[in-house]
Parts: sequence; C-alpha cells; structure tokens
Amino acid sequence: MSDYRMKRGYDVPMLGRAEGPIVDAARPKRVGVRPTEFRFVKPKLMVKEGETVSAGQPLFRDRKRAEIRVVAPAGGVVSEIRFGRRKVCQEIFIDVAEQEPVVEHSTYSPDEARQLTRAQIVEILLDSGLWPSLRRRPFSVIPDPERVPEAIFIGAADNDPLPFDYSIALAGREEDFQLGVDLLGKLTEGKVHACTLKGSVPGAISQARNCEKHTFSGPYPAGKIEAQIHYVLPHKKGREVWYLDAQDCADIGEVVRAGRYPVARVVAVAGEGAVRAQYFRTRRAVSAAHLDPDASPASNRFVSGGPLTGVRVSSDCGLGLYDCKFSVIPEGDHPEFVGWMLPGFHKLSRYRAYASAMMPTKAQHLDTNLGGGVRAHVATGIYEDVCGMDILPGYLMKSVLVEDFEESDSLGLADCAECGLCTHVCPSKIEFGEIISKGIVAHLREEA
Amino acid sequence: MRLDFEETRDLWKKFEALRPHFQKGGKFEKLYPLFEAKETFLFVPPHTAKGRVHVRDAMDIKRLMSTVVVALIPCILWGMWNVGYQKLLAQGDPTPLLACLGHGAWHMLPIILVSYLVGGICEVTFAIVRKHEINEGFLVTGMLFPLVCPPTLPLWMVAGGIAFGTIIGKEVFGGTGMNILNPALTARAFVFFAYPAHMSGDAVWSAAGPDAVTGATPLAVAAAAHGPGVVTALGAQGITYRDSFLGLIPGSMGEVSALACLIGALILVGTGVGAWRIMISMIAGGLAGGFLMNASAGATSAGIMHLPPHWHLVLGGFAFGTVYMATDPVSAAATHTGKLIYGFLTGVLAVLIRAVNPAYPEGVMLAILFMNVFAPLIDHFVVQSNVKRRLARV
Repeated sequence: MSDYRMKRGYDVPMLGRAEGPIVDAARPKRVGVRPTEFRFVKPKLMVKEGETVSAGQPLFRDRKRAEIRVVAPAGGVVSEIRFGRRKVCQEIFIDVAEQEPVVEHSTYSPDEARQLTRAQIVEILLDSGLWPSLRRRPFSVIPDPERVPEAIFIGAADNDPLPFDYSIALAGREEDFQLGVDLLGKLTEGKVHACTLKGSVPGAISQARNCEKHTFSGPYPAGKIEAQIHYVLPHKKGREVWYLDAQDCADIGEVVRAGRYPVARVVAVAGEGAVRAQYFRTRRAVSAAHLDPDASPASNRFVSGGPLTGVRVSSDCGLGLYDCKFSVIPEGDHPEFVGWMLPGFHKLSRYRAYASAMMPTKAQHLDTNLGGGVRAHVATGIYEDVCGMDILPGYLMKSVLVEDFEESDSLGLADCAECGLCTHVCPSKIEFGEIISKGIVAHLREEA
Repeated sequence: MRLDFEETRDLWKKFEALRPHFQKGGKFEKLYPLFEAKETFLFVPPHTAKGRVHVRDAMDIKRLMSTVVVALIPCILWGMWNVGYQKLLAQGDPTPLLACLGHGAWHMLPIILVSYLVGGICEVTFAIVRKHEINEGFLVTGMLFPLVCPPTLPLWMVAGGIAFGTIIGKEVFGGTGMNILNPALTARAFVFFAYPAHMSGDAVWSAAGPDAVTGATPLAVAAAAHGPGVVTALGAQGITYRDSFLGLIPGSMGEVSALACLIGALILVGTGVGAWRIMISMIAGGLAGGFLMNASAGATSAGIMHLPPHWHLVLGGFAFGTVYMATDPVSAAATHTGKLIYGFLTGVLAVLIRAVNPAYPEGVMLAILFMNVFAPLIDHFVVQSNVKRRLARV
C-alpha cells in the first residue's frame, strides 16, 4: 500500500455532480457502438445493416490486427450504420431484441479459472470481446496480445469535475473483481496495481488480494489512471504497461465464470444540463437519451466521458467502451455583450482576474463557450502551473507542431496524461489536447 | 455564468449581417482583422469548444492584457501627477493636486495618444497584410512605452519609437508570441540610442514653462559622487529614500514611483497574470548585485558602488522594469525554473551596468533586453534538465 500526493493540477468547480443512490434504468431498446473511439484502430465491419447479431458477436475488427475485435453489446438487429467522411464508420446501432441471442463461451469455476495458462486467458479475452478494454501506456492504444507488459494497472478512481464513484459501481462484484485481478496477474511478468483515491477506496479493492494498492490525493488529474501510472511506473524507453477500468476487471472475472459477454454496467449521468444527474444500473453502450430523456438535446451537449476528456456524441449514441458516465453540458453558442470587460462574479477562471476569484472553489455555471477569440500562443506559464506530470507542456506542444518526433519523444509525449487541463486553462484558446492527440497518432504511424 | 441580454442580440445580428462583406470574396475582405477586433471587443464570440475539452476557462488574451493595463493605472495616475508636480515645482508655483494632474495630463496624454495611434496603425497594417487577428498585446506595449519616456519627448520621436518597437521589435519576428525582445523596451532603446540628447542619460527634464529645465538624475548623482558618502550626496540634491520610493523625484513619466509599481505588482500577482517568480528573483538579484558592488567598492570608487542595495530598487526604472517589463510572458523565460534564473540575472546585471558603466546609469532597460536575448538559452537548459530526468528513469 503506497500513498501518492499530486501537488499540481486543478479542480474545475462544476455544478451537476451525479448523486446516489443508484437506480435501475429501464431496458434500452437501442444501443450504439462508436468504432472511432479506439485510437489507431481502423475498423473493418463484420456485420451489415439488417443483420441479426448475438450479444458478444464481433461487430468489427482492426484492419491491421485481425485478432482485435469489438463485439456487440446486445443481441438484436443491426438497425443502422452511420458513416462519416471518407466512408469511415462512425456509429453502429443495434435494436435490442426481446429475447436476446447470446454467444456462449466455456465456463470455469473460480478455482479452475485460476489454473488457466496465460495463453488460455488471452484467448478467452480475445474471443469474448473483452480484450479492447485493455489499453497500454504509452499512447493509450489496445495492446498487442503477443506482448507481455511490465505491470497492469486497474483504475478505480475519478476526480474530474464531475466525478464517478467506483464504490457504487463495484458494490456486490467483489468476487468477480478478485478473479479478474488473479487472471490479469497471469498476463504480466510484474504486478497488478489497483489505483484509488485516498478516502474513497471501494470495498472490492480494500478486500482484494494479489495486487499492489495505491492511493492518490491532490487535485485533478490525481484520479486519472494515466496520471497515476506516471507516478508509479513512469514511462521510459521500452517500458510497456497495460491498464483497464475497475468495472472491466470485474467483467473479466464474470466472463470466465459465466461464459457470456458481460453487458451490465453502472453508468452515471452528470452535468448541469442533466435532469436526472444520478447513477444507473444499466447496460453497456446505452444512450444518454435513454437514461435522461428530459435533458434537451437542443440546448445541451452530450459527452461520453468527463467534461475535460470525453467525446461529444449525439443524444441517441451509446456510451463509449472506456467511459462510465455521460456529461450533459449546456451549449454556450450565444455571444456575450462586452463579456470580457464585466467584473465577472459568475465567471469560472483559474486566473484571479474576474470577481469570482473571491470564491475560488464555488462551482459556477459553465457552458461550452470558448470564452474568447483564438489568439497566438503566449507562454504565460499556466500550462506548467496545472500540469500534474513532470513535463513542460508548452515545449511539448511546439515540438509536436513542428513534427519533430524525436524532440517530442524526449520532451515526454508518452508521459502526457491527456487530462485536458492545458486546453481548459489556455487563455489563447489553443486546442492543446487535439495537437497532442495528433502528435500521438503520427508517432504511432511512425512506429508501425 | 454568461449573460444574454435581449437588447444586445439585435446588435449582434447587425454585426453578423455585416460579416459577409468582410469574409473571403466580400467587398472589405482585406479589413477582416478590423471587423474581428471590433466584434470581439463588443462581444465574447459564440464560439464553442471543438475538441475533447468541453468547458473552458473564462480567461482570454483580451482580459489578460487589459488586466496588465489596469495594473498600470497606479503608475499612470502617479506619473501624471508627478509630471505636473515637478513642472510646477521647477517654476516655483504652488502645487495643488488638481493643477498637478492637469499639467501632467497636458504633457502625458498627447504622448500616450500618439503611441497608441501610431503603434495601432502598425499593428493593424500588419494584421491585414499577414492575415492574423489584431492582438491585444498591443494595448500593453502602447501604454508601457510612453510610461518609460520623459515627459518632454517630442511627439515625432514617440511616433518613431513606437513604430520601431512594434515593427522591428515584434512584427518582423512574426507578430505576438514570436518576438525575442520586449517591444516597448525595443522602442525605448531605439529612442535612447538614436536621440540620446532627448532621453535620460545623466540629465533629466522637468517639463517647465516654455523651456525644459534639466537636472541630474539620482543615478547620475550617485555615479558622480565618490566614496561611501553617496547617500549624503543624494540628500544634498534633495533626494531622500522616502521620496524615491513614493516617486516625488523627476524622471520618466510612469516609472518614478516604486510605490505605484508595488500596487501594480500586487494586482498582477493577485490576479495570477504577472509572473511572481520573475519579480521576486529580480529583486533578489538587484539586492545581490548591490551587495556585490558594496563589497568590491574601494574608498575612492564611484559613489554608486557604495549605494546601499535597497536604494537600487527605488531609483530609476528598476521597480517598473521588474513589475511590468521583465515579466512580459513572450520575451521572458518561459519555464518556472527559467523565470527564477532569468529574473535573478536581470537584477544583478541591471545593478552591474549602473555601477560599472557610468555612460548608462540606467541599466535596467539594457539588462532586460540583454536577458531577453538569453531567455531562450536559459529555457534550453531547463528543458534539457527535464529531458535528462526522463532519460534517467529506472
């Protein structure tokens, strides 16, 4: 058990946190999968519109790595496939059948399962469709099954502006979680690490055996797994570690025990625009419109994931595979008269140049407005103020912009946790995160 | 929270109706930067976040730069009063507050106006030619430059100086964010070297009557004196530490009062806009430089070598340079550690130039410009140490 304290970072005080207790959501009629959410995966569809699929049946695979397959989160009919520019598949929708067909895999008792070899476990994960739940550091891509990671990290923490409580999500799944930990232990030569926030350790983790437990405290991104890995096993040349969400770890236990792709999920809806900001016991790939039908899609933005890291989705599109919450944020697409000159009692800013600085932790109304025009980058030092990693974000950004890969490597492109804070605070309104993300994809292309 | 007034929506719509004329293919396509500037001046635009970060800080460059201008207000007001005060004092007239301010404004406002006007024209011209937005950083440059000029500077020199500072100091490097030197100091250095007779070298002008009256600057007095009795020599000229701190002495328009600069520093650091690392380390550097000079001074060396370190902080442009000039985010060091080194060296160097080179008793400007050039080098070493730390991981 080790304890880490992150000194730098920033907690954006936002309204609309999800509140307990958890409720059961109605069975969704439609679920959606987004092939674009997987970094550096070029999807090759394995189903057609109108085809009937079973839960757990592959929907698409990676063009380059045929063994990486993403499976259907529900049984039913593929009702719609949406394509974007250059015929890239954006969304696959499945109308959930009353009696869902399900792909059955072999089942093991916990004791049998613990006797499985590494090769067998890898095969089970690939077959069942749980493999894409794993991602590797550096660069957060789905790992290569052939490789053996130095360690595996389980993320059970979230302290972004609209935090998700893992204690609620893991309640009652202690045994599956433990089985998951034991199976993951066979995938790595090193240890399995479970990362939580100090003061809110889910029961499943405090009871867990055979894993290193770490607690973190401090401002966001202290609860972000990519940042936590940086503190426990920072990236160095040749080091590869894998990580996954705690719910996915329990799912690994479940799939081995029950032989079916686990479709149950605890999902939170949060944000100022949400009418029902709470926790739901529901399914994978459920849509925001299903969980919170009263939140208006006209005046809100639906985000799969957190407000600093999530992806904008349409209200009917499903929750991402790696996400456990929807953030519903009011759109800020209206101009504000002389806004930058006003005292700004209700403007949220990390700088203290608005009157709201008198109550810095008070959550303010916050919408998606940029808050100003895009300008040339001015090295104010604010990036370095908020960055929780040991990197110099401004220099990293410049090295990516000039496409000097060697330089961005040595400046810590692999260390960036992509927490979104630099973009959030940038007074020049530069899309820092998009620049880094493009740099990472270019880097992966170079590597491949 | 962002306000949405019914009344202003019509105004916004009227603006938007004009937009096609300024866009590609429109009648005034070339003037788009002016349109953009006007529109974003009146409205925070309705642009929303595009990437994965869906909520943004309310701070923008406009607010950032206007905060600096707000922090300059104490210096502007004090300078305005002091210009008038020194003038009336030199004329032997009584010095009521309003009269001082009035006389000060009479000398100061035309210089500020010319600076903004000429500099603004340069900025807009480049924005149109280079097709970039008009950058608000100019609001700061256009105000900083007049404040470091003597009140009697001819307006054509103000115009020449600010044009040089904006074009050669900033735009030729690619505009805001790309310049190596502080544009306002570049402007001042240009005027200083091109027209040395008009800028404070060892003499200072008080704007008195039809003809300017000259007197020695405190730094020149200190440089001319010999031996450890330098404070007495200053006192003999009527220069006390208290007067220097408050700014009751003649000098450049905005930089005489260390007190006003201190208020400005509180605003800048309090709002998180100014780099406290640079301010603190530059003061430390100035004091260290002062001690160094004291320690190496002999009985017959120039009085300025014997000047107590804390005097350096209140004389000349040290306070103003520390608070407003050295902290310019573009030309200063960009890394946290780099800022500490940069500030300290600037402080030491400023005192060194003052004490060792009697031709330029005002060393702060040159020290900052010199360290502007070295800032990338300092940053380079800080970046390399970060890279080495990464390579050394086990």
